[in-house]
Amino acid sequence: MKDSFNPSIEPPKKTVTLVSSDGYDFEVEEEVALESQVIKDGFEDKAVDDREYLLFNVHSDTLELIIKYCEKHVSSRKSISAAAASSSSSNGEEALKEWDEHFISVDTNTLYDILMAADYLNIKSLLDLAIQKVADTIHGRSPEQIRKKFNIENDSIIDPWASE
Amino acid sequence: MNNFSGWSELLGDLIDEIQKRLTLADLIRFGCVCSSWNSLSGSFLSHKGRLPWLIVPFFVDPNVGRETNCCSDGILGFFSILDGLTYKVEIPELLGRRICGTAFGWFITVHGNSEMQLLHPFTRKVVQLPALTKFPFAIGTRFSEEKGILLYLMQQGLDDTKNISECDSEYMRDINLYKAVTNSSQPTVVIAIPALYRQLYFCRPGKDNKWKRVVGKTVIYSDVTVYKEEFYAVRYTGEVDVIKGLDDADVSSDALLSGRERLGVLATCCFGKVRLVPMKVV
Repeated sequence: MKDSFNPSIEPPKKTVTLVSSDGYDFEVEEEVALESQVIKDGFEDKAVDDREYLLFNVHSDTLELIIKYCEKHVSSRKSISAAAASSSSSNGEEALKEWDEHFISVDTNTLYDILMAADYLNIKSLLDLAIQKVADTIHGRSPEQIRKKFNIENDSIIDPWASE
Repeated sequence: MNNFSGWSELLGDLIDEIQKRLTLADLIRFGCVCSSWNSLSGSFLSHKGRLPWLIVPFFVDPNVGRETNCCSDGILGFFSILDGLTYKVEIPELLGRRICGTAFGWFITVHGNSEMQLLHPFTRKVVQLPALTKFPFAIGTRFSEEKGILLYLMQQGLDDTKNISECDSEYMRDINLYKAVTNSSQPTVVIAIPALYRQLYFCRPGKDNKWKRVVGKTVIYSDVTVYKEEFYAVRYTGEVDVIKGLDDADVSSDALLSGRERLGVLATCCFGKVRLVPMKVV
């Protein structure tokens, strides 16, 4: 976090606009957008009234999911640290983990879009989540099953009898 | 089905991150999915320092699996020489089969029911080979009611069609095949040496439905191996024969056995000298 930016004592909340590759505007709170390291890195350089980001590689369908993820993580982090401050017991992290698991339980096409977007926007926790999901999907499957699952063409030199 | 996804075009650093989270067996299967993943997985595997391996038994239950010569529970151990660990690999396809040879990541297996297969332990790909009954000296099988087992009828001698001996299926699985190898990671030829006659028999997976003899019956071999996709067979007398041209050989077995030109040449290497001689065909 940049020192000059502390959303918790700066109401009303500022927003930035994220524009998807297919031209849809998404207005989100700054702190949500700043989950992306890429947006964060460029944030200071932008004028306050021109905080619009064109995300050429992210389709609106995917962007919606990404924003949902970031919003959830920002709000969970707050409630977890609030619970820690009041030293009340909390299962916030456990609940967030469960939420993540549910969030990433998508078909492989959507998973691919999320993975690419998380990589492009550099959202570390989401990238980890997506990569782990890919690894879990590969685990225990034969090459043929993996190809089917991920819709990959068999051009392998190792496996010349795949058509049998 | 040309509408393939972008998964095969994932960039190296993402692939690396995925591979870090895979088990050894997953990693090897991962490398077999497509050529792009294959090229990215090879260096990762060797970086992990897990190659080469010895195949060892992996007894889950110490009381099970020690009786027979074959894989009785579908589980093998892969002992990595470099990290000293034994990796457990489940291969249900191996159940009841004996491994009579390995080459280029493939097992050549034999079953008491006469099946022979190429089996890849990690992709678990199976390629059927001609059965034990498809060797020229095998006459057939009969089921023995009194013993309740399958018996194989075998010629006593190669040209002796009158004297027939009977072998039980356990013998056929455990002893009948002395050694088998294949020529590459995409096997096109398999050579087997039966224990009884010790000649070289070959087949081309997916093309041949019989095992065919490679060279004359007077030559007895003690071993066969592969180097740079060519077969090197050691005679009992110590000479080494190089076997070439088997994958180009005519598909029909009769033509093969009579058409020596099509087989190319056999190079005999002895005391450091290599000379090319016409291939002898029976």
